[in-house]
Amino acid sequence: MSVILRPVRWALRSFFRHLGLSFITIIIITFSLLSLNILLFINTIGRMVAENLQNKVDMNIYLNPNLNQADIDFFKNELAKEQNIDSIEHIAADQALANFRQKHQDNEFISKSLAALDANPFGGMIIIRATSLEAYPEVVTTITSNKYSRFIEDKDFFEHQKIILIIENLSEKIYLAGLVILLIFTFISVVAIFNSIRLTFYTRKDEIKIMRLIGATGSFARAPLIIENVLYGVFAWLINLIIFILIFNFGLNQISSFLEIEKEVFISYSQEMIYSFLMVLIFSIFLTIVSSWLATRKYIRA
Amino acid sequence: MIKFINVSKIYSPEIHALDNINFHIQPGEFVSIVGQSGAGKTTLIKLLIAQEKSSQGKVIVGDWDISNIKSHEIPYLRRQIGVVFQDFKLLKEKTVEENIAFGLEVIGADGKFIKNIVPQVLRLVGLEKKAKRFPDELSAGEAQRVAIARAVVHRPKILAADEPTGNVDLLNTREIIDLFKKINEMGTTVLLVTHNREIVNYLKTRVVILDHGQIISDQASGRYTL
Repeated sequence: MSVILRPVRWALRSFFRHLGLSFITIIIITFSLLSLNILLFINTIGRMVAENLQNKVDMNIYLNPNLNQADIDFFKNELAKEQNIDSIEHIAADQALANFRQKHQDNEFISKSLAALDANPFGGMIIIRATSLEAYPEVVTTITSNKYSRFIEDKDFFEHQKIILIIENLSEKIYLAGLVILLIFTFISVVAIFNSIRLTFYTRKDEIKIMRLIGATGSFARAPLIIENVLYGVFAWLINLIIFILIFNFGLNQISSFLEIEKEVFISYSQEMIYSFLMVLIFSIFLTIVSSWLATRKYIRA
Repeated sequence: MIKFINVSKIYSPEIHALDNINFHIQPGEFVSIVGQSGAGKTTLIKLLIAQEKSSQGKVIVGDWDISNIKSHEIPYLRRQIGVVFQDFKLLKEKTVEENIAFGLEVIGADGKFIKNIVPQVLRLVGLEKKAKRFPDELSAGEAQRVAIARAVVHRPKILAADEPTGNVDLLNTREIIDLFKKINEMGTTVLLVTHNREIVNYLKTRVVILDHGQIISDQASGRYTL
């Protein structure tokens, strides 16, 4: 047990005895991790925005006004069996008319035409959402087949096809750009953290050499120093966590209204953000251990 | 206990730090290795603790031929030899008692054992009141006594001291040498490297004189006559 406790005790003692150096090193690692966390956060937001847009894309099918309720129910049931269709929403004829009026309220010609009609020209509407953007072309093929032609008066998704393609393209580009930037900043963080740890070891090189002269093994001399550096990484990560909790708690409303995404969407992504944070912690610990090991190689020779 | 058999240390064709050294130190002996600066005294200590490897010959400590010692074995050799350096080589971030305790922690001694022994050793070197001080807060003489305490705390069979009084004033020099004598009386083999004539002549123990890497004299109760 003392094999583990002794280096931990020394590391803690040294951490507090070199408080100034500890503080500076923690600050450097904090900023490095902060840049990573911000990028991960932005990446997540980017994907969130793209997926949110995808969820808003739908197809409107205007039903034949001559259909009765049994026909409509049959049509809905058949659509529900299609595996690329995620959700089906039926809007009754009256509601369809009201929605149409609202959509074209600025169009004087349509408004006048509707006013001239005695009866409701609409037969109801079905709004379809596909399981994914990529599934829409197949859904389009299904809907336009002969199988369903007697149910459909009109379709409203050719415009959406353009939007779908744009969103698909944009999502991919956002993802790739985010990945490249993340990799660049990861590399910068690695270099910053490695050099800051190398500096702490440089100031302690005499200590390491003396320990070796007295009879300490390499790992015995290294262990407390590595643990001390891991502590720096953990503290830096904790500071990052506090910063992000504060941002999330106090800034969520502003971020939500700026991006025009409901708060609940952010909350639904919170688990993913927690995983990202844990990954950054593991990355921080791994990096401090590897950096410490590499930095001591020069001074650890017997 | 310690044998140097045909040992040479050649740094370059022009620099032969040691040249065909042969001598044998028995257990419990007190040997002064003397010579002028550059005679090879420190190189001898470095070979003994495997900080350098001999270019030729054998160095034997106990029954262990350390001439071709592997790097992972070196810590175990050094734990058998207490070393005192001219520049003390104390751990600046540790207190006096932590420095001394380190000598025991390195060999894996139990915490309770360390807590018992360290105060005794502090009393031996007369520093019981300075246990919580840091090396920067000590005088040169006190710092060297801490170094000696650390070197002997784990009861090594051999104590090697390389110019231990080089940075110490005259009064403390006498005290430190007396300390070495006391340690030797307790059974430890002491190898004292020095260029201080007065120390050697005061001790009246075996004297090995080095000159330009060679032993020119080895007398059982010698004087420094170079």
